[in-house]
Amino acid sequence: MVRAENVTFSYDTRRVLKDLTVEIKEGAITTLLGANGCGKSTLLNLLTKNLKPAKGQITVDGENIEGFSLKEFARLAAIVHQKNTAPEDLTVERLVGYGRLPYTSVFKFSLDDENQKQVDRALELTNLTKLRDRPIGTLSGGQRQRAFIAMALAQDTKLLFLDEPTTFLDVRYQVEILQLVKKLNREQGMTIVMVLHDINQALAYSDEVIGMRGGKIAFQGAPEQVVTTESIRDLYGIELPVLRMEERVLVPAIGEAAPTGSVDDDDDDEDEEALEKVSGPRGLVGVFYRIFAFLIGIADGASSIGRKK
Amino acid sequence: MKRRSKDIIKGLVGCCILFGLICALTLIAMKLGSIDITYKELFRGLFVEYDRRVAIIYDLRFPRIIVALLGGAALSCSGLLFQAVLKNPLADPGIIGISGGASLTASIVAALFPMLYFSTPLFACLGGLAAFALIYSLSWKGSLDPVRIILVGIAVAAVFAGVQTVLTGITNRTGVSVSVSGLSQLVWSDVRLMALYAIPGLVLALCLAPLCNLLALDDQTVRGLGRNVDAIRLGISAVACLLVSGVTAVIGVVGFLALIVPHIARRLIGSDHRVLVPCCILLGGFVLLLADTIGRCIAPPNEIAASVIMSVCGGPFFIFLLKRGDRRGKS
Repeated sequence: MVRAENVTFSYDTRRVLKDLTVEIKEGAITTLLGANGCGKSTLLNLLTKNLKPAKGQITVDGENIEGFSLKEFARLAAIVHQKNTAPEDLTVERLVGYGRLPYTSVFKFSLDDENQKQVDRALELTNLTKLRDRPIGTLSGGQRQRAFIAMALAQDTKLLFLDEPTTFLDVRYQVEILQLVKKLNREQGMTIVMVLHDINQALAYSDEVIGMRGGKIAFQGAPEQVVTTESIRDLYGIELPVLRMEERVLVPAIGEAAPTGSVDDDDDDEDEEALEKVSGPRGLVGVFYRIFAFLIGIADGASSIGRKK
Repeated sequence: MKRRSKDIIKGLVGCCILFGLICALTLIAMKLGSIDITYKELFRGLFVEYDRRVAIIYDLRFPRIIVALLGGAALSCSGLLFQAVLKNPLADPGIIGISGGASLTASIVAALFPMLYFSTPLFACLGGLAAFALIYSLSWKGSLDPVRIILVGIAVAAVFAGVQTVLTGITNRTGVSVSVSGLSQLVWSDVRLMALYAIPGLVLALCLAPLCNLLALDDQTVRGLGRNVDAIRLGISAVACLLVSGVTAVIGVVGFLALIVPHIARRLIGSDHRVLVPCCILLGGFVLLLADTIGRCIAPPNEIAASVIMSVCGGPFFIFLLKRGDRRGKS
């Protein structure tokens, strides 16, 4: 359904993806696995038209996505990002209502019946109907993430991309979100592509796993078949046991780093790094700036007395 | 549905109250000053027969009141737009150097081409836009880092302020003052000049309010919803520059107002720009007129600049609102 052909992409001078070709199966849950900096977030951004490939092309149902306008593409594919911000006092319903933007004008004051129906459907699917009037700021982490998924669902697309949907959540909400993803796939027939860090979650909830390493596809296939001690070592440079119990495959995250060091550590994911750096000092620095700004305001006023005489 | 209309009603009520306050304040401001006059005399002088004292008030006090209302409205609205565009609660056109750029170009035009008086705001606007482009390009690193914008902006503002001082120093020797500051000595032509730029700007800002709401989401998210974030940002920035430049060309750089009024409005009415923009416009006009009237009357015949009054009274009030908001958030 979605196909990337010979895609190459670089940030400035650093090449992230090299001549990559991959096909996403229709109607399946596909999970991208790989170490930090292997290019999986970049691939997701390319597939969702957030970035443009330097070479190669990306097609949906055989049509190059370059040919779609942003609005047309938004009716085709929805994306839920890893970190989301929204005003604290925005209600869940209005946030989900933004999901109808690809179909309506932003200048309309309220949604018409058809659009409202889609919003109601999205709220229903994510179990947020009761919380529809609550401000975003009062929601728990899991509810918040569900609200953003609901916004994506309101776009009424057949394709849904999720970038690490469980990363900032505790295990209870992680399971809740993944169950929701499964339900959307099985009951609504959506094609879902997500990035996950947890190998076991990928095993349990995906129909197909794509392993990425150094900007290339390392393996692709059904999780029980492609996830082995060797393929994990290839991806993360760490030796992990792979346990097979009846139908299930488990990879406990305990082991020793492989001496080969096949994954370069310095090649960290740039976007994620930048995010971390900013969020660290922001609190304290923010306080200083606020104080600074006040001083400037007062100094400004004081200097204008001088000018006035 | 219920909740949505409740928010709008709250906004409307807030705007009506503010409008009422503005009317009351305008009436008070008309009366107060060095010439003492009753409303009856004022009314007679304006509409019935010529009165020398009323004529003086008409020529001096009225322009000042109107400029204060329009200027306060335009400034705080531009502050709100900049805060939305730059996703930064500290984005004040004064702090990040937009006003500085506008004021500098206005001064240069006034010094070199005095015959272009009526187009000064236009040049000021160009200066403001140039300053904005400079700050934006200097702080752009793949994405907008809020801290970086403020740092770059403060540096840019400092440079503009320095050059402005140099320019004032040079031109002062020739006996011509090119920099404008404050609300004193305004005449009706100033009102026309400001209205020419501020009113279209305010109307545009009201129209663009729903787009400001979108900017409160992440850039990627907005793009994912099929909207061109960069175009939205550019459009809103241009309107904000237009607003601040028109004001700066007439009354110079006014600090603090554009920073504090949007915050107060947000505390009072929430973050929905569709009601926040009108509320901010009204509140801005009210606050500047209030500050100017207080400054005018507190120690006659001396005048204290409106920006000083705003800093002294507005600062503590703002801190009070912040504290109250924190407490309410916790409970």
